[in-house]
Amino acid sequence: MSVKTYRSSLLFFFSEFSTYFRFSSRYRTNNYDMTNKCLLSVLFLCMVHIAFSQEKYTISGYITDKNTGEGLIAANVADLRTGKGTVTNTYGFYSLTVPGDSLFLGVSYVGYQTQVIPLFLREDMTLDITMSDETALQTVEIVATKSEELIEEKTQMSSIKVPVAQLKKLPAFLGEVDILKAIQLLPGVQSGGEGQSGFYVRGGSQDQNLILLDGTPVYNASHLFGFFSVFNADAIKDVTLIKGGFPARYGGRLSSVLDISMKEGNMKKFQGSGTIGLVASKLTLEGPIWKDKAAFIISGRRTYIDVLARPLIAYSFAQQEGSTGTLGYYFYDLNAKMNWKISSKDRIYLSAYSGDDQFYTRFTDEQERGGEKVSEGVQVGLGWGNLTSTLRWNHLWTDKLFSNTAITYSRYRFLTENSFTSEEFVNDVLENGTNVGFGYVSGINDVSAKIDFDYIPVPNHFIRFGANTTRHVFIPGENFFNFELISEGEEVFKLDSIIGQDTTYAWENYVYIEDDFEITSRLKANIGLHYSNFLVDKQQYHSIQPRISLRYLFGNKLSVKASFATMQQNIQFLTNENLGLPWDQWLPSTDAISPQTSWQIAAGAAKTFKGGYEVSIEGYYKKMNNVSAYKEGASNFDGVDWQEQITQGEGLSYGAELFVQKKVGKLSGWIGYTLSWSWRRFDDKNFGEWYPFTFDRRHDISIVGVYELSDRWNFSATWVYGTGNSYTFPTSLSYYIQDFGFGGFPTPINNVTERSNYRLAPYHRADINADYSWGKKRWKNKISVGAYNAYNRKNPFFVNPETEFTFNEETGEFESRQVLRQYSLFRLIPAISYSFTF
Amino acid sequence: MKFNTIYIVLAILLIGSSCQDYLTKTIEFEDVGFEPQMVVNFKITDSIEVFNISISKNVNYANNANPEYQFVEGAVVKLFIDGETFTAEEQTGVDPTINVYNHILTLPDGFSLTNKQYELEVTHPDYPTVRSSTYIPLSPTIEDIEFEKEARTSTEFGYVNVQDAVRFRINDNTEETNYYVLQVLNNGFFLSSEMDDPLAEPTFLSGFLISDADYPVDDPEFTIYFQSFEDTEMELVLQIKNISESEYLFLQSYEQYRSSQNFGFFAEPVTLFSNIEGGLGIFSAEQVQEFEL
Repeated sequence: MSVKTYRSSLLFFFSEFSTYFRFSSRYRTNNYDMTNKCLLSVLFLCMVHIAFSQEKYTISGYITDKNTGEGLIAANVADLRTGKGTVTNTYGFYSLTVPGDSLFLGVSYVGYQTQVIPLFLREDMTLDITMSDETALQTVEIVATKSEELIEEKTQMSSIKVPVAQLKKLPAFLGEVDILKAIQLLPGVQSGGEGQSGFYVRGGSQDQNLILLDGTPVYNASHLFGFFSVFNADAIKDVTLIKGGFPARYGGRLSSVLDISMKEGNMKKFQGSGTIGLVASKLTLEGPIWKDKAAFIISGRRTYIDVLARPLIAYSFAQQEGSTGTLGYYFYDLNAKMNWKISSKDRIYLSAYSGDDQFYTRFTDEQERGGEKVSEGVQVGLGWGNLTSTLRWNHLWTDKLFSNTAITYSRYRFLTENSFTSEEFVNDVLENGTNVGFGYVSGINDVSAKIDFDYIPVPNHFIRFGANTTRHVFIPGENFFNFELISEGEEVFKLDSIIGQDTTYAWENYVYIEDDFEITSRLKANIGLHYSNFLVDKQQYHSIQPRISLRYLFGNKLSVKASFATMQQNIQFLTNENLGLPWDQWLPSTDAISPQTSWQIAAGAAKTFKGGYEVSIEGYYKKMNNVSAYKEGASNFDGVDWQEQITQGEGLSYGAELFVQKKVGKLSGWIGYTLSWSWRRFDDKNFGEWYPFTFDRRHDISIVGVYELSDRWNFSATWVYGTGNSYTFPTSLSYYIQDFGFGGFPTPINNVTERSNYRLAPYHRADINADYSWGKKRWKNKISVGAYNAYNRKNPFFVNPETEFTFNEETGEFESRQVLRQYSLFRLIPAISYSFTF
Repeated sequence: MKFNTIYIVLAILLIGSSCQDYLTKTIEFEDVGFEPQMVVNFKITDSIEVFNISISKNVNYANNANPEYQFVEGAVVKLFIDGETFTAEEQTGVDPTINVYNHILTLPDGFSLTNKQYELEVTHPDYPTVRSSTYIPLSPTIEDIEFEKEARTSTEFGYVNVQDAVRFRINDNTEETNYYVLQVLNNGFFLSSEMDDPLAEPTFLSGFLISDADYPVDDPEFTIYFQSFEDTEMELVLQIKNISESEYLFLQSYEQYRSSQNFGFFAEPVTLFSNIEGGLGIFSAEQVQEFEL
């Protein structure tokens, strides 16, 4: 019972009691005896009971988009009398328990028309609500209320819900809207470097981000060495990033959770959308399988540089007589999902994602001389990609208890297969031949089962609890070889061999409980506990992780927030900090490699100002233990046992973030600024001293603006600035005498006396975009024209020390000097794309 | 995996060469903390009485494209052994392209070097004075040396590989930590060899680095495998070097350094171990035992 309800009950009791007492006094002034005393006592107790048990009823249901039938995540539902409210969960479900009476139910969601629904509540009721994002007035009353839970009201801090509709209006790299690149524009989040879609949160490493697609982990979220992310924005419904104050339902990574929900499919009507861009095109189709009961969505994207270039490449290969060949690279993504409302209480979802990068080359050369034919062939294939799938069952046990049960599968695989063939035919009979094949495979497979419950007993409590179990299969790397030798028509030698590191199996389990509850009207808390267990071989790791977030709301709608969270990460990603490669591996903790752990405290303030400007400022301090990194001298090309390549140490990061966001209106966007420090320390690196992390970034600024001039014209621009990454250079050159016992000879040594002793140039870039839309309701068109790196800056990708030779005219000799050559990847890149919806 | 490297490098070269000027720019090297220092290379062994010492100098990485090996002329090298001072004789005018040492230290005949503490001091008016110290622990006892002909056979890619083995125990009889380099020599040359022991770290000289602190017993047993030859001219020798901790740490980091040089940009930088206070290089000690097999 809330304080307000309690107070009104007491007032009710005292007013009734005093009325009775006055009545009694009037007629029994002289006979106030024990009987009266007893009666009064009974009445008092009854009234207390009545007062405190004023009948409450629960309104529950789903809030969906009127046009598509899709559930709306985090829509706001409130009893406008009392101000008590709740938000919808990930599936659009809400449950609100309020005293029975006439009430006005306010329903709001950003970008949608706010509704106020009058109700007379005498019993529990199911109320499914549809909301429209159209501007025309609806039959329901429209009032000016807040459109969603305001930032200062949320208990959760360090969390940003990224509006996908707004993301789609931002400038796109080569015409491709990229969710992960947009994430990098948020404070506390930074990119790894030029063009990369990997991200680093609050001084954490790349592997410390849990990326969930419909609740299933995605292990490698990048295409083309990180220049594109695997997420097709057309198939995405919701994106939420959590950087700290992690709710107990999340675990397994130290630094962030990026929770991405796919669209569910339009329950009402068939519709589609597509984009034709410079490097890729995509098409999304969705519609009802059974109107208002079942729907599907399927979305595909593919690059086609290889297809366009194929004739040219084929022509190039064919210049030599007898030769044919092809060469190319492409990536694709395919998202598919269907959902089925079995009943008002049950709903099933089946979703899948498949995406691959493929590099291939095939070359054959055939030469004929008389009856002899000599054929040589080379085939090289290099591919990597993810496959995820989720089977989900939503069930409403009661109007206050909602469950989500899911079985998920996630696989990341890197595979290269290569072969060289040489064959000699005499009169079309194979006389001599050699076939050499070799390849390499590595990856990770996960199968998980989980159940999550949302229990909303009263508006003041939102309780979540659940459990998860995951079976990990780690394939650290297998090389396979085959060799076949044919001589004079007979096979004289054949070899088929596999060499590699052992596949490792692990179990990861967790249970959690959290309660988001309103202690007073000003003080709200989210308190939770996450317990995880990791079993690999015979080694078992346990971890109890308390989580707490507090929010105190002042009278002027300014809130202060604080959070504390401990995390444990049982798997790690072995990668080079200079450049991630697709064969970098996810690997488990073992008896030799301990799980990474962290604790983070954060504090801040938030307020929404007039005009819808959300302002938040946060400071954080994060300590990480058992952080994994390559040992000195180790490389992701080195084929030794991965456990021998890893060292573990400490990490420390702290800083402050400012975020000003405007979500609605003609001009929307945000400004983010991060001031941060991030350090690492390993006993066997840098002489055991702390040194700046490669992605230590003192200043990071993002300015994002979207201006909707009219229904036809939309303009957007972004500008980013970041302190350059740290780099390690030798300070001097010297010689070591290698003495073999019979003299010695000098070997040059580059002396590294301190890690991270150099900073790359600052990174800054502006991107611009203009959209022009036209068309009727049935078929809408949009042309987007933009530019990446609009002012053509040479941003650093990497630097390399090189020797520069200059001719000295005075001496007539060439002189050499050591210089740094900075390599950039992308200068000004214009882009144009055409999009359509129907 | 190596082929993948080639593809990546080719792709980068392709991109880089096609738009070299458009996508690159030259930056002047900033000072990343260079300090002129003397570089010492000096190893004491108990089997000889005349030592060669190299005193060279480091050069700034930022402005020396191809530095040459440069002696420091005029350095004064002093070695202190249990209170006695020995000064090395400088060889002036030596050609650094031919000779790599420029100081010679001669000890008196019969001077015992075992179980002593050595301190080194090198002074020069243009450089900071450097100091270092090292120590050779007591010699261990090598026990149960056993040579086995054709100890094991394996088949790789269709080829039969036959290996001989030498087994032995090292008993140091003390509580202090000892460090060893284990090697097999044939006619004075290092023989490529293998150890199955995961605690044995291969070094660039085909030997294995051992720290006895890694073993729970006082007399751990070791086995070294090497290619079996039907060569009657072979003179196999088991060589056990009892090295100072500084030598052990240096060889460990030097092995990492060598490995990193193969992978360039993709390798973690290595901070090479040095026990030269105020300078660079290595001052180490070793004691060699050899056993004919």
